[in-house]
Amino acid sequence: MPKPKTEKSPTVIKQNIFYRDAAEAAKRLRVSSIGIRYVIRFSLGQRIEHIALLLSFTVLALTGLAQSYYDSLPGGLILTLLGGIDTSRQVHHVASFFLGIQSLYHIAIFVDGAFVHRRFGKMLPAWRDVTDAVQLMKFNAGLVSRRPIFDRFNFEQKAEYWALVLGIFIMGLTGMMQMFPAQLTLILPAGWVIPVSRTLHFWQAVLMVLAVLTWHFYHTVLKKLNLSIFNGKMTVEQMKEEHPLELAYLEQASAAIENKRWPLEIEIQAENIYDAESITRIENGNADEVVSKNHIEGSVE
Amino acid sequence: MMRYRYFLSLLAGLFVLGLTFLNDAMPLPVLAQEPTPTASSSGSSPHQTGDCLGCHSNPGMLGRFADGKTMSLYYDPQEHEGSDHIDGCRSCHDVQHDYPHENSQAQSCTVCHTQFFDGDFQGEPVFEITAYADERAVVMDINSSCHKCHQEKFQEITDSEHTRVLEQGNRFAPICVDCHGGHHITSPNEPRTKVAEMCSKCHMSVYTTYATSVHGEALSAESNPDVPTCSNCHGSHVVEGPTHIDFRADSIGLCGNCHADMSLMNKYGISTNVFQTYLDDFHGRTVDSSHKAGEVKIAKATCYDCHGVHNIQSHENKLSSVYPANLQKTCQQCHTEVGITFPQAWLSHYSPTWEDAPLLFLVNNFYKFFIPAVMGLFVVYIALDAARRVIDRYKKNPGPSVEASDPQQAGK
Repeated sequence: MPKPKTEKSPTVIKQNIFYRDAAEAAKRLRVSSIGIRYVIRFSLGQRIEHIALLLSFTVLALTGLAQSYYDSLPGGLILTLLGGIDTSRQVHHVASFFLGIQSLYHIAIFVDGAFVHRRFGKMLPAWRDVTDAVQLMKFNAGLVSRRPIFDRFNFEQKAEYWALVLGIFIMGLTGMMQMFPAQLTLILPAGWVIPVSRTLHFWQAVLMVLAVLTWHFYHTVLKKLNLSIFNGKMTVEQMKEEHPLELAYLEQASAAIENKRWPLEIEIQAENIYDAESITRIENGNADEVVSKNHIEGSVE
Repeated sequence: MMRYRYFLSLLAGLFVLGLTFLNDAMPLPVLAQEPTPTASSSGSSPHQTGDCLGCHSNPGMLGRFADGKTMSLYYDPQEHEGSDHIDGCRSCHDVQHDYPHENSQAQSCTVCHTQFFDGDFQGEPVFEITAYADERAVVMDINSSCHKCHQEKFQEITDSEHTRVLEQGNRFAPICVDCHGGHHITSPNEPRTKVAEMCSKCHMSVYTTYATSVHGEALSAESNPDVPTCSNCHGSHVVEGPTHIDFRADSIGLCGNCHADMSLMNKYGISTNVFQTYLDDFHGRTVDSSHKAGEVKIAKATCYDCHGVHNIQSHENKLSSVYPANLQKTCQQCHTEVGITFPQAWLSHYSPTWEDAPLLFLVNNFYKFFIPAVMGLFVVYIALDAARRVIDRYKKNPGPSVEASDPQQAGK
């Protein structure tokens, strides 16, 4: 049996990091009381944000689609439960208000992090995401033997996040346009913006709900149940599979802090243990040869 | 004995015949004859046989009520021709008492027996009617005999607005005979114009408005069989008042019945899209879903809120409330302070086209392409990913035939 060619070996990144970032990274690596090593993946604030989004999104989707499909059985059921289309409209408005507040909070957190703490999230898209996507699809098709090595957020998660941001922006804008049609047409020279906003609102809602039901559910529930967004934790074992690059960074940054090496220049070597071959290599303790060096744009958290 | 009876009845027949000639009356109508007195009956005089026409075929016959008003008691046989009811008088006039009507003393014999009128007679040729207060009371009494055959119609009218008015004490609220006629009873909607004309007897102002509407004009001008006349919307026996709790919500179905019917609308080149586009938009969706949920208070616009009720006109008619120039005013009925562009927020029952609403058309078609494309991509991506994971898991814990199912080999 001919061995498949190894296209890419472990990612190696040389990086200078701030002491502050390294200290924070070290705090995120923990060991549980029964000795399981885990990583704090999401802060309490982020977890609350997700639950709030989950709730408002669900309420908005149910009350909104029920209005569109009022003639269907589930739609009629929801409307009946809520006490009619007018009430569900009000519930929809209240939920949208909460989502609006939440969106503003999210933006405020971003502005605070970026301009006050000079800390850019790792959610920003990078060229690496494109190459990762291509490599993963090639890997899934059996064309290459190695999975891409993901950092804190992989391209799947980034794509979903930015689609959601854009989607909420569209939904919020078109939703508000429909809430005040009379006032809006006094300002705008054209009335047809109202039906456009209605149509856009409807289709965008359908798209977002379908995306959550397929893309989001597959990656967080079906593929492998991932509860890190609820409890904030992810075991090191799972990190090795899903975010090896981040794990390597966390480990090496915390090691550097422990060893009191300063200034910090760390060499991140990440390996995806998911590949059967690399497991063997790690178990044998063989270091892989460095083939390529990828540099992440921007700083790290 | 037999011969004697036979002779008597022959004599009676001649007597009747003679009377009719003497009274210069019309020939006896066969239609309205009471069951013919048999030869065995004791006599042929209307006083004995109760032969209604014996008296009521007299054109001069009058009845007078206590207040001095009179009504004709003359029965015109011609009136009955072509009627759907050809039974005898008593089928309907059963509440009248048997002859001689107990309560009507024949105060004026000369009404019939003119040959005995010698000029000295002081009374007028009228019968005093004491059992009824006025003509309406007579009509209402007779009307109740319709119930004998048409019970189900009486069931229907129980909830009618007309019955309600009647029960409130308005004796001139329509009862059967007011619409269907007394002696000349025919189908009330033949010709169709008859319905509207009948209603106009009381609802004249509404009728005048209706007659100038697009529906009314077509009805009177061309006897159009498709346009709605009064009863199509208001019902015939179950006449619901427009203030009835369900009328408003039901009204969209009324209009939709015809305007969503392609076979009907195609004849006139009217779009059947109107109903669906209404239901797809804010007003229609709210009205329809509220109605289906059994809500009664429906505050959103129904068809007639914009198009008018009896005065419905084509949208091309300048008088129409939905004529483009009048739209702002029409919207302002509810949206009090909206501007001139507000009516454009409603697409006038059109599905968006590239010419009319380019942006809307684009958005619609973009998503119709984009969503399936994205979903297709997702499904393929997820299927590949899942397949790969299943294969790899199998590879990690290989079964007995790992060599045979090497996915990477198979993939190359």
